[in-house]
Amino acid sequence: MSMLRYLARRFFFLALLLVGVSLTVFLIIRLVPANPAVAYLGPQAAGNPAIVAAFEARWGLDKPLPTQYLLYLAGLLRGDLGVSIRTGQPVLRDLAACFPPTVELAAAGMLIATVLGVLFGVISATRPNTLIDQALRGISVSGVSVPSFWLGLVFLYVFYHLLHWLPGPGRISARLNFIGGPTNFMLLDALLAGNWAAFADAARHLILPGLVLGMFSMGLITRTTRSSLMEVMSMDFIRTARSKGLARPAIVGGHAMINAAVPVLTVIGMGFCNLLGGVILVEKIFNWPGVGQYAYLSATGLDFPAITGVALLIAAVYAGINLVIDVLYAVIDPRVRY
Amino acid sequence: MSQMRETSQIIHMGHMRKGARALALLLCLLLLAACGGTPAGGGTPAGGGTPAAGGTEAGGTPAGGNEPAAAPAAAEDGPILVGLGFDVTTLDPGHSYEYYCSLIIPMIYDNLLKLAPGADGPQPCLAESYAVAEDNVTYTFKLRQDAVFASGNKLTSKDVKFSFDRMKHLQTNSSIHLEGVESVETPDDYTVVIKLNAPDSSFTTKLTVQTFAVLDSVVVAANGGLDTEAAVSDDTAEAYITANPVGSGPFIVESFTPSLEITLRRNPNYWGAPAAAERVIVRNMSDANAALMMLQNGDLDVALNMTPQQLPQLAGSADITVENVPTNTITYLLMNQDAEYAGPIANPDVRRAIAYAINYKNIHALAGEGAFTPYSMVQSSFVGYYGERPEDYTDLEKAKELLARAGYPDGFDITLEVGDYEAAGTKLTDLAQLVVNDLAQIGVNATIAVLESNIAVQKYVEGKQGFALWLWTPDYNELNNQLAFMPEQKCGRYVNWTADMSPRIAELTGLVASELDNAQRVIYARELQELVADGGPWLDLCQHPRIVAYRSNIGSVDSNDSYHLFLNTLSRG
Repeated sequence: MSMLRYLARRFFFLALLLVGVSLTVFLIIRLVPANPAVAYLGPQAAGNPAIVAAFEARWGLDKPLPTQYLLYLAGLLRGDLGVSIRTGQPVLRDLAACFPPTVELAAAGMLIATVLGVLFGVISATRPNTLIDQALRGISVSGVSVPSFWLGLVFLYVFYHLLHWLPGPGRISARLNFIGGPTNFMLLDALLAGNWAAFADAARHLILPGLVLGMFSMGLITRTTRSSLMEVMSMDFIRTARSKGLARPAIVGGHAMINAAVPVLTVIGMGFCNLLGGVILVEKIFNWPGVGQYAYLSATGLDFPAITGVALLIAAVYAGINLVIDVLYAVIDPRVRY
Repeated sequence: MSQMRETSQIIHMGHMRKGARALALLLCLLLLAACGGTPAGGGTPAGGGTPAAGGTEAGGTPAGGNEPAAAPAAAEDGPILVGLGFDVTTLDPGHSYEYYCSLIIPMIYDNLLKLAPGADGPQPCLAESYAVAEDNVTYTFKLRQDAVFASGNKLTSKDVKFSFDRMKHLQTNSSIHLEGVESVETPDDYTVVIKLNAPDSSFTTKLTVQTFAVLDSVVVAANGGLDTEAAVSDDTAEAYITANPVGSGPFIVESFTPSLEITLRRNPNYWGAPAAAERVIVRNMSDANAALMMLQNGDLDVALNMTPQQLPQLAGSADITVENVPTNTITYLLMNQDAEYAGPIANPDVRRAIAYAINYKNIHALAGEGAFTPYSMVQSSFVGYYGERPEDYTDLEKAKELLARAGYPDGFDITLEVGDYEAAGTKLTDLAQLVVNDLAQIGVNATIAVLESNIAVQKYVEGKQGFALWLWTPDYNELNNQLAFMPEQKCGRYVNWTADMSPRIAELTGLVASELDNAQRVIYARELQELVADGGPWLDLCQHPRIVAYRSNIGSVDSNDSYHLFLNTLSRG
């Protein structure tokens, strides 16, 4: 019951957060000293006052700011995020099309980051200050510090161009003649169509961008797992377990790791949020038709409704991930109560 | 106790060596499994290879397709993939304006007249023939009778009238092309009479651009389209037109993600020559390096976004053909007429000095093979072209003399504004750096201010840019398009250039626009260019070539500056 009350409270604050985000973004983007009418009309048409007036009237830009915001908010309450100036389509429909590719990519990135990060962290923690520990720590530091656009190009050059191990940019090989399906999740659509070649191809296309996207989080997870596990490994109960003659994997996996998991979980949650920041550049290099590219194109095109829509989506995802992590704390750590 | 801990540590190390080995092995296996797919000795690059597990499924029925599952061999003949800086956001000609709209719209719609591969000037398309009346403002078009829309509706003169009237009343960016059209009449189902306000020597060229595409009036009207004055506020057809086929062109859109990707499929009911390829995909490849790798690996068939700096990497491969194609894209210096914004740059002698200070050879080297500088603002492919500015035009001594005559013997400080744009693969900021270096030679200390593109355009149209570097791609490829730069014309206004400042130039502008006798028009155009080049507010820096790189097994790569590339002739050889 207390958990339900806790969730209700969180959802209430989430709604407030979204209203706050919409207002902030709404005001900030209007501070840009450029007029969307000029951006969309081009220099010649922008010189024709009748065309500019028609454009402003069409997009409601001729109304006072408070009226514009109230109209937007009213639409928001009806679940209407407005129409994108750039695409001419409802923002909600645009987001429904570009969110699944990003979720797929982020999930691949997080999977790679979590599996490799925890694995590297455990190896490092259980063999501190050895060569392999130093090497893995080196990888984790580079993961955190190397910019993703550079890493993306280097990985493409090595694994795609030189070695031909992995496919290049794009979600699927054009030759397969598979253009997706109703869900916009390429893997799921391929499964629904029963097209195993498309499924395998789409999965392979996820590896490189997923790896690049996940590198930052992998570095963080490696470092956190290492320090957290080393701390736990020095505790008395571990010594007790050892003295009972428990096998090493049982001690690390069964006793230490579960106790070291809380900070790791926090970092995984943070990592997922960080992914959303890195997604713009990775999607650009890998021709990924996701939220990152949508956000970039909307922002550079002064597409006000789309920018606000993307901001709301990202805010909701952030809040949602934090909520999931907070709930998981209670599951992992019995001392945590809400 | 310490002895015990030490022993424990040794035991633990031993365990972990085994554990680490096992983990490393597992990791290697995972990576191998992930990276696998191409068997040893298999020549196909990973991107194109079909994984063994699903090889026979490769040609599976595509969504919306009506053909049976194809064998793997057909998969090899898959769609032709074209990579470029795709910017198309809408498929409604009434709202289209972006650079690559003229690549897509002519492929899904027809016009009365169109451009065609290997032919100069407007060619018959929906209009089998046309005649111009003696008044020079009345055009009568006879339509072909076998054109049909995707809906099955026959294309008639009503569709032409509806499309043009809608375009005019929408009051969007493209509507400016219809400013000169007074009326569109339809005496019968296959005759269209267009009356202009005044003679326009570029009218037939304008008819080939996407603004004049013909839409299925019945379907569009049923989905919110209007051809009356109310269209400006009440036409709601754009979303429908973008999502559904309402044209009669050689392709039908299969899928479209604005600014990112479009898949075109051959129109089986096209009245003309069918498209050579069953499918063509045009994809936004904003990263030229990634696109280059795809082209080299055989995953990309045609690339229009290669930069001059990538040419050495493209050279010498038998698998890739590279062409340097001329474009009508120019880069130029804007020098405001109003001293409030331009400072010393408003002085014609200072502008003449700048023209002498620029090292044109360096600019051409940066823009790539095939780059040159037109003498004035008219491109080489247009009637009345004046010719090139000689590469050795640079004369620093003369430039310094002119500066001294203008009252600036020691030079001056100035800001050169530039937007974050590219002209055919050349960054404008790189060009600006060359200009700054050249100006330093005559004592002019210029500082580059890079503006976000929207802010740059905003300042431009407000007429507040004093000294700036810009690019220009014509809306339609005809001399009259360049008249926008003249006094009190669209761009002329942005440098505060009024007719009373240059009465003869203003007069010549009108004469060039309306003169239908070509020889006389050329005389006017040449005089106009001489006058503008002599200390005028625009200095042309470069007419840029475009690099078209494609896999050598792709046939009929017909590029054209207006339509960029004829997607309907592309074929896999």
